[in-house]
Amino acid sequence: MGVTNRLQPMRSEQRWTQAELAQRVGVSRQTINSIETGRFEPSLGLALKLARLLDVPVETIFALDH
Amino acid sequence: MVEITHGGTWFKWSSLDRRDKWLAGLSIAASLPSGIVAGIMLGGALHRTGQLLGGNGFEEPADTVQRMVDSAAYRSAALVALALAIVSALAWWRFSLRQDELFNRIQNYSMGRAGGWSMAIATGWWFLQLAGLAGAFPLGAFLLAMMLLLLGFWFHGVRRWA
Repeated sequence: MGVTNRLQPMRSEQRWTQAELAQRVGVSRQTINSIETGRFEPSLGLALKLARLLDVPVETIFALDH
Repeated sequence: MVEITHGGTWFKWSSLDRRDKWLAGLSIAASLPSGIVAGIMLGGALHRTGQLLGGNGFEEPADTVQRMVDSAAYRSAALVALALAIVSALAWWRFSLRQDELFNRIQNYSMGRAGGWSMAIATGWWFLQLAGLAGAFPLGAFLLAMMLLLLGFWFHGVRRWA
């Protein structure tokens, strides 16, 4: 069972580039890219940082794939 | 934060800050003497392998490479290379601590898998040796195999996550 995410559209709503979002949460641009393309599932800590930054519950960004 | 490029063979220097560049550069530079020393040993081993395959058997220790390996200068160089290898490892450890979870997940995966397989190979060899089915443990070949496993799992991790 994988994890899907809505990080890319939510980032776009803020008009942030991947690099800008990466800098705000303290990871590399490559990490953000890998998350958005579904290749990399972030740790709980990083997922919560993203949720806090975007001011939404973490389940709004990440969900289990049915 | 480091970004891995070229399929895992390099990283984007411009993505590193000044301290990361210093640590990575120090680690790579300090590892070079170890590579030279190891290369001489590997060259000697491959030379002997070539002789064996050629049907001439091994030459006596008068062999050029063997003489070099037996020399006091080479042994001193090996100790210097060991000290520099420790510096390289410490610098890379400090560099790794400063990177994000994607880099460390790939690195931890490659080191964990390579370490596990290496232990399995060494343990298997030990039991075969106890059973009289294998000779002395070939340390150089083992280290080479471990390095190849590390690289293999590193590239697999990069392809999987990066």
